[in-house]
Amino acid sequence: MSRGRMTRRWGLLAVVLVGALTLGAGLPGAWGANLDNPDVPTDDTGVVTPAQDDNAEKQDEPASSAEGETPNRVAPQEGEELELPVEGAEGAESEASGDAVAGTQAPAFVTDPVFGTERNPNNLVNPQQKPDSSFIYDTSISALQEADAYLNDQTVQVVGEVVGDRLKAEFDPGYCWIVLQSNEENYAEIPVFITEEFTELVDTYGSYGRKGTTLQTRGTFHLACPEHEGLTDLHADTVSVVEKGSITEQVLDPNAFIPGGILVVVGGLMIIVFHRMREGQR
Amino acid sequence: MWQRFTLYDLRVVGHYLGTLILFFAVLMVVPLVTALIFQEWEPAARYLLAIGITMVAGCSLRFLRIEPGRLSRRQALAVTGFAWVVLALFASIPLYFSGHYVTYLDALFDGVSGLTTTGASLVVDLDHLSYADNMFRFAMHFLGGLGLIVVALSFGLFGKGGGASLFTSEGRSEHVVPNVVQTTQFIARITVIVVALATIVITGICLVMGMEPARAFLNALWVSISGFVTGGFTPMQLSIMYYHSFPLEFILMVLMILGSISFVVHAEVWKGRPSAFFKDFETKTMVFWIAVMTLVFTASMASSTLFSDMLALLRRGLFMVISAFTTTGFQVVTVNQLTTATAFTTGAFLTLAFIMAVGGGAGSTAGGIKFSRMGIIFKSMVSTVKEALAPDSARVVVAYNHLGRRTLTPEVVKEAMTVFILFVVTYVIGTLVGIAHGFEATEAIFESVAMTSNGGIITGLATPGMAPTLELFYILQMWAGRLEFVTLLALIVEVGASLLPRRAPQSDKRRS
Repeated sequence: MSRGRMTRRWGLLAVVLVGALTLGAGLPGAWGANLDNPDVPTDDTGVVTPAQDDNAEKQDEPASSAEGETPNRVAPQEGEELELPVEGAEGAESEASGDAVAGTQAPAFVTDPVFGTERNPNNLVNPQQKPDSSFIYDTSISALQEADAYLNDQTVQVVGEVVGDRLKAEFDPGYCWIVLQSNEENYAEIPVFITEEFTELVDTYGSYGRKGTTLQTRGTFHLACPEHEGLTDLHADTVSVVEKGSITEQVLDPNAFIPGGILVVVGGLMIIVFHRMREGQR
Repeated sequence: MWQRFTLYDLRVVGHYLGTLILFFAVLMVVPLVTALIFQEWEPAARYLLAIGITMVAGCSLRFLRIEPGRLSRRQALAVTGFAWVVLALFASIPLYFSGHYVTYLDALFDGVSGLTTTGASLVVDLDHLSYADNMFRFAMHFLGGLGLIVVALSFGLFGKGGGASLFTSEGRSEHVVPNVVQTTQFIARITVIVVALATIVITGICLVMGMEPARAFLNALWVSISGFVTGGFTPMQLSIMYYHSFPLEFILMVLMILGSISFVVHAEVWKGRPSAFFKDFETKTMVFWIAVMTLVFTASMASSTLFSDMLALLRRGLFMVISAFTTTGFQVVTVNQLTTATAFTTGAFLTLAFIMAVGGGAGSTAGGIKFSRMGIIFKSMVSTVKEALAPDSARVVVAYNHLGRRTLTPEVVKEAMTVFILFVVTYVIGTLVGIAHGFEATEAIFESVAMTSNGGIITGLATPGMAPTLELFYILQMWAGRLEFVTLLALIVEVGASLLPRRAPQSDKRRS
């Protein structure tokens, strides 16, 4: 194929594309003109909820919807859940918004200007998606430990065992620090800045012979926290118990001491013999 | 011709090593008692077994020579050189069977790291480690920080047999008082007093933060030991970040600085002559070097988007600079912050490596090249320039102040230059080994420096279950750095020469 012919083909294709885009821009309900469309089912977390699914969820789990849980949230397996009323104001607001969306009548589908009605109702794109921290990353502690700047100041959710101690935050009355340890093989850890009220859920702090309470924590991750002089931390907004802690009883097994005891006695006898031999040489 | 070890030498060296191993068995009683107090029965049984094994091995070695006589300088070098690794071998027994190490080599690495006060650790799930095991880790730091030989001499373990030779071979050449045993006892006394005071204050801080009394005391004791002996082990995986306490960090900064000052200068200050500290050329070198490097570090960090505010720099940056120059290895930033260039810039990261490479004061618990050698090399350069400018008939004399005015001699310069070059060569070889294992160059440089200088700030190359070749090289680097090369090189040469077969005399050859 000659080079001139190729160029002409590409040119033609470009003209067709530009024409289609121009035509599309003139139509009502095009992408650019649809930014404030109230019919797009969404909430302030930026998560699009298909209307039908939303209704079904509402019927199945009325309590959950009433609490305003976001659709991508992983529900705790057991135990209580506490939410931070003050710091989580943004979250509460979003949840209220979510309720509002859930409470209205099922919105009609927006006719797609390009694909018409022949589209997958689950494949929705939200043009109002904010490029901010409202999205929740259900992630792991090891991922946070190796996090790049993209996770900085994002809302994340992690599960881990509470280890060490509960330490009072030195400049923040009512707050304290705990450490969450990953349940994975690498034992990654993250310090969690948390209200003292939340820590009442912790029944055991992990240490030797103690498995700490496993918590699911949602909060804001900071790669270098501006409030805590650059510390990598997680500011908890919501905490729930996944698994209670446990204590392994230390059983005294006298037989375990026998080999050591024998060797110590042998060693002691050798010392005595050595000193006798030394005195003999003198 | 290189000198060889005779059978008599080996028997004498074996006897003294056996004495040190026996002493190490006594040290293991500390974690055993801790285990019994806190009713940690499995660790208690484990440490009793380790004590038994160590005692039998130590006694067996002592039988090699019932009356060893006086140690020669060569024998002293061998005892000191071998002691650091032989004791680490025994230390690795209870550590490995704790179940917190992926491989046996990892446990040995921690043994060497603990004794050489490097502070890099390959322990897994540290926060679930028993109090007994933790106590043992810090007991190793205490022993290694003071110096195995210093502690052994202060207890009079070697009797009158070659104390001075042993003392010098451990990288300590200056005596606080003329008597070696009294010098070692003085060093041990200072350490105990400083650690005790720091433990009391930090226990108070931990109690205020809400820790249980027993945990508060143990954490305070351990970080105090680790801070003053510039070790770097911590009882918690998050290092000093775990405590979220500025007063605690401040005390540790003071402890680290105190630990990086020569014990000879300590003695002068304790005798009521603080001017000795301020006039000392090592102090001046320290102030100049740290000021320049802190400036470079701050300037580099200013370009960081996440870590450039003043409070973060003061709290985390300053702590890291002090932790690096004292070669302690405490961390108040995560490895991720150090290495990903999102929080710390690569410039700041490398600056920390340079700071760690130079290290602290000679005759202190710090590692690295040492300020005194840097100062002497600088003075030597000054001397060379002066000689170039002076008339032929002039005799250039350059002096420095170290417990009085001293003249710079070629011997002093030669010693400083030799050790400096050996450190730099080892840093470079360690970097090449790291790179050969597929790691990034900057991280390989940092890790190599951290191992050789006994700095201990690690960036992810030294991880549990790491490549054995790299791990063995890092063990060698820690060992060489702690002994400041000369003892180890002399030992390697002697062992090598002893293993080579003797050449037949020329006359015999002709006859045959």
